[in-house]
Amino acid sequence: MVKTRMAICALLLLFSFVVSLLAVAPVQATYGWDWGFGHASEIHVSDGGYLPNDYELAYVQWACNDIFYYAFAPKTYYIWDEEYGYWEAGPAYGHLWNYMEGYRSQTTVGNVLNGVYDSEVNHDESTFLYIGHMGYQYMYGSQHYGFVQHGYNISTTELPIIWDMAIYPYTYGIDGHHFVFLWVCRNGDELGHANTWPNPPNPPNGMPYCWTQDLISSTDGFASPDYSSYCLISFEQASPMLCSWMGTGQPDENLYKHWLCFFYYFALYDDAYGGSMYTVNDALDLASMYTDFPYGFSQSILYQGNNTYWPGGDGQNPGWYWSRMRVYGDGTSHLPGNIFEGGP
Amino acid sequence: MGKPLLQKLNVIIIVIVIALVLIQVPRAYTAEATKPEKALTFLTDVVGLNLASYNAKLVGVMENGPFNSTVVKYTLESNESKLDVLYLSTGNVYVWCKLTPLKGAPLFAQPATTTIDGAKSILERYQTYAGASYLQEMRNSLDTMSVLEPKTTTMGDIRLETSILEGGKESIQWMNAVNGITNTYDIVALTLRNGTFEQFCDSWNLYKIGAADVKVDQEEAIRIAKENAYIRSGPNGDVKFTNFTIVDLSVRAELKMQPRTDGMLYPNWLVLFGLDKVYFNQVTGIQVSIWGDNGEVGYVGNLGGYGAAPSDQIPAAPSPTEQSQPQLPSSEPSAPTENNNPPTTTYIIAAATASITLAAATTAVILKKRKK
Repeated sequence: MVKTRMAICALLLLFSFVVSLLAVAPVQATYGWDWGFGHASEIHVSDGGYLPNDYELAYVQWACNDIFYYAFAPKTYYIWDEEYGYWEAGPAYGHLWNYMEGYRSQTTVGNVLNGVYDSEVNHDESTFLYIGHMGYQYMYGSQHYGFVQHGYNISTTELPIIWDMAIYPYTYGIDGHHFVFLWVCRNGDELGHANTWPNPPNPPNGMPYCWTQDLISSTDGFASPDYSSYCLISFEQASPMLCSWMGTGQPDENLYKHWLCFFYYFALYDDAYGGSMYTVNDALDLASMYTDFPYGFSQSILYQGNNTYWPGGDGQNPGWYWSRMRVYGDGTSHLPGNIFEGGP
Repeated sequence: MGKPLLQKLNVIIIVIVIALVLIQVPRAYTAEATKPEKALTFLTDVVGLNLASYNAKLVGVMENGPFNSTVVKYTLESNESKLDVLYLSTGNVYVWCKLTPLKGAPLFAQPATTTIDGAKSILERYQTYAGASYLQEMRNSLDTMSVLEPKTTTMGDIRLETSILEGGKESIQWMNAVNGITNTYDIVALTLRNGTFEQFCDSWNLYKIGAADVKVDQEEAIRIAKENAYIRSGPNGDVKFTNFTIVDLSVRAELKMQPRTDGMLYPNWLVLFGLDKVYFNQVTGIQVSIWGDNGEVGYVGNLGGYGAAPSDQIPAAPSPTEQSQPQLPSSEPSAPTENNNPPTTTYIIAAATASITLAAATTAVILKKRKK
């Protein structure tokens, strides 16, 4: 009798636990905070437009969480308390959002543009990461590039693509975004420019230009940095899936996902003084070495280029298309790390 | 010679002997140089920097770097020059160093006249520094060159590649290409900018060669790869989808040395297939690696990119006035909104805790009633 009751209790316990898990699993979540001070960073993903398959989506979510929790979140804002003589601490990234923490992305046009503007206006230095599909269209006298919002809340009044020219007015005259990483096809095709004569009313084009206006000049910020302190990384032609093997070392250890996480980990690694030890170029080199390219980024499949197969459609013939990662601007710049204010 | 004089002479000899011994002690018995000190030694002895002209600031040291190396970063600054130095070393199998000029040109003790002369000097100094015998053949290979031009030369198992890059850069790379198989791991490589040092790497002994005999030819590798190809699907990639069509004209295969789980290099075919259409919204190809020494499948994975999104609607272009007046949230700092939407794990923990508490309470009541 006792054994039976104990067994019932154990089963009841197990059952309630399982039911509770099933009840909460689909909860989607955006995770982050905005304290209105310090640096800013946002991580965005499109799991819409063309939906990434479930396998890829798992890697994207994994990468976003790793970058959020292990790279950005630990950075600390230290303020020296004169009265009591100790350091008070808070987040150095006072504005930090991960729109892919939960089951599905919460990246919308509104969230992206509001976040860009808030980062520009209320924070010292800002970074931005987006992983997802591109927008690509010739209009208003030049080629335009964009990235899509997630695919579940597209309303008739809201455009699903965040175009380069839409970013421009939100960064105009402020230039707070010093580092932007767009893991998107074609957003690294060109530097971009203002559209002056013969199209004076037309908007500017190109992601590097639209995020920073004319502050970036180098089209190879890795080999020939322009020392502007602004840097944008994206892809010329295709950007690879994060779940794909980079072709070196042990396959399950060297996926593009690993490279991306290593990059952010090193870009925000503390130096001996509490700042960021490595430049963007250093982080590119170290992430490449960690994925078994001993000579660094210049030897890697990302910098040297790769071929991606396209089966045809969207105005392009079937075939292998060459693509590569492009670093615009200043590879010697640092992502902002810890902040120290005051002190003995 | 008197006895007192002899005694004095003995004392002098003993003092001289002790002094000579002590002079030798630092080389043989002092504590080993620290990693940052070794980095500075490398910069002087191999790179040829004139360190006396610089104020060296140690930016940081990181253990457990790539290939188990120690990473050391310095910023060197003088009135006319400033540069970052990144140096990695395991001590014996991996050495990597890169200079990044931040202001002016780096100050070298003896500036090279040509790229070839610069490369020869660096290799010669590195051979003295490292004492590695495999460097001699590489040094010899430069003797036949007067001008660096893009080409590939093979000397036994060593493949020498020279190339001219953008921005005044030139690169020289020696590869341990056993049996002519590309080996991107075991290399000695050097990049110079305008004839002066920029980057160096010696990973010649990073991996040992496990086997270099190719027993599976390209045709056979493609056949095996086709038989074993599948698309990974499902959140864990554990669903193997096989109902697809490979475009035969798209098939590519490349042979390279790759490390196996025993930590040694073996020949490996990487076979790439293009597919007839986009599968699972994103997959346009499949990558399969086949070991060239035994025909076993090493890896099967998805290929694809973040292609175009439908864009049948042209958005209104923002006008110049709109550009300077975006309709956006207030510029007032927003109130702390930490964790607006608690992460899934928070819900799970809360629900699990509640369930366990409830179940435990139920159990306690049942047991209490039973005792009565």
